[in-house]
Amino acid sequence: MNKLDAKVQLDGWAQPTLLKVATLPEFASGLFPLERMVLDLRDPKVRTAFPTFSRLPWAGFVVNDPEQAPAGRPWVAIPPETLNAQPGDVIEVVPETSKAALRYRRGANNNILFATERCNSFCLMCSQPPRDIADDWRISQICALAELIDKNEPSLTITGGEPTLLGSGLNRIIEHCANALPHTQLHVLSNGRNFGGGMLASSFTGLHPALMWGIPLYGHHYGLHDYVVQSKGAFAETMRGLYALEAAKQRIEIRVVLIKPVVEHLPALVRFLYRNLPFVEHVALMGTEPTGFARAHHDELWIDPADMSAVLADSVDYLTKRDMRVSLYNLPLCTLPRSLWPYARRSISDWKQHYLPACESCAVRERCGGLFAWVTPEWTSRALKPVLEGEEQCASH
Amino acid sequence: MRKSLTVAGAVLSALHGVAHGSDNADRNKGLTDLAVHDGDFAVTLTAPLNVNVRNMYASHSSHSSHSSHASHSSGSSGIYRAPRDYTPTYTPAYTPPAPAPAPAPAPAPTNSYSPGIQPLMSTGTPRPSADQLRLMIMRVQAALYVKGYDPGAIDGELTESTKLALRKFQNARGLVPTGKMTTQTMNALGVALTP
Repeated sequence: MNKLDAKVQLDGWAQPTLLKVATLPEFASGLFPLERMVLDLRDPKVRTAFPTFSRLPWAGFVVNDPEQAPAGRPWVAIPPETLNAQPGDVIEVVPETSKAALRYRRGANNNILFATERCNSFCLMCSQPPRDIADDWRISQICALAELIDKNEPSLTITGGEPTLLGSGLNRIIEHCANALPHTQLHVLSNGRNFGGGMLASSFTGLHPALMWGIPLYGHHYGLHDYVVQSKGAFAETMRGLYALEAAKQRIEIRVVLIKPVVEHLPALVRFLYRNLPFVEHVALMGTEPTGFARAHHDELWIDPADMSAVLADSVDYLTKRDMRVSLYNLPLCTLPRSLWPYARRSISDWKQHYLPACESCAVRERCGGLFAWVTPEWTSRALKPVLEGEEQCASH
Repeated sequence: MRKSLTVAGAVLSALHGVAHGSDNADRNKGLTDLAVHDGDFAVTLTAPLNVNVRNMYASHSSHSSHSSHASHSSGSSGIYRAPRDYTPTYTPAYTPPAPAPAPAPAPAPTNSYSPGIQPLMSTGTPRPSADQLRLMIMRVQAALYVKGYDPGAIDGELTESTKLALRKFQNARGLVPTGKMTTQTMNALGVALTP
């Protein structure tokens, strides 16, 4: 696991600032203004070969040691042991707290744009417990960040909190991404409840060339869904929202977190999905991330993936036979029957992806998503064990 | 289109591999097949970097000989001016080394630094300011260096070594070895012409 922010030494910054870390290729491309880049003097090519380089109007410099910084210019010291900031990444320097944070990591498997901490649901297993604070400032921050992200970034995820609580701010963000990053797929994680009434859904029609909504549905019955999201009326709102999004020609993914009460009714849920929402492009069945509210509700939520096998196999089979695409997220391969391995994705973000010591000898470690870095013994499947050489063939092969 | 590009790239790499040892033929065949398959899913920029962009740098084959640039260097050649007094300004007095062919009628250059100043040229041929030109040459030099060519120094001067490196790069990419910053060359180098 890598840290995403750290205390650092810095000087010369008047306010929190987003900065692209630049070496020679970022400079050469000319795609980003010099005034919004920090020249990475930790790079030996940049440092020793080209002193003239440092005299350009960079916003500042990244150094290993404060003594490397050109006099009178803003700088931030990020030695390797503090933060893994690489060329092409976007960092934010925050002078008040003497911190630097990674806001975009080139080549990472899951870069997010964090829309808001507010939410209108309070899901039992929320990994990002909401806070009711005014954080509309994030709208302009995300737009500024999008301008510094690599133009060939394959995909970004907008998440929160509930992004639709930004109101028209979410439209502004998506439109800005469409302009700054027209080749980047955008995945917005929303509970869909705000699309039920009014014209919100249709305001996204044609706004972005590659936009997908990830909407959770936890049951085929309102009682179950409303219980999981701890919000009365949420099921009805989300269902109306899903139909409104479909009517607005939006692409939809259904996300199902595999907590105990949901798994107990999963066969009914996938049948409900096929009968009522056959237009969704993808169904993601996701292992629980053991952080946030989930930790407090372990007894209500935990079901060992080893005990889900039959239900998962039935659900995947049911959906696949009906041409509905399905994937399994956050479940280590050794906890799944071989027949389900082709559906398992390496879905855990690389910075919080973790393997156990036992995984060292596993033959399929490179294909396995591993575990969340904050996994504890009570959240660990009893089925976890290394897959041995020769055992790694899928049953279907 | 993107699929054909991917496949073409794979075939070229395969040929490249064959040239280095025919025992890799099977593996290369496998890689080509994979690339063909992946073509459907490839995320690639569908257009080159610079499309419908005016290239006001293409005609420059020399730089250091212009007296108008002397005032922009801080004494010793190759040293970019100190950041404190980095005040890029449009330089109407700039004269090109040779009459530049006007590519196409284009609007007067919009210079973000000094919008009130108009160029003295009567035609619509855009001219980069001395600082713009120097910066663009530095970008080209950096791109050449990253790709393994030796531009001399990254100093914003279109020196003989830089022009030689440009010609070598153009040759290697099957471009006309002009030693100039043509749009095709800039695309191949990955240098955007727009600020």
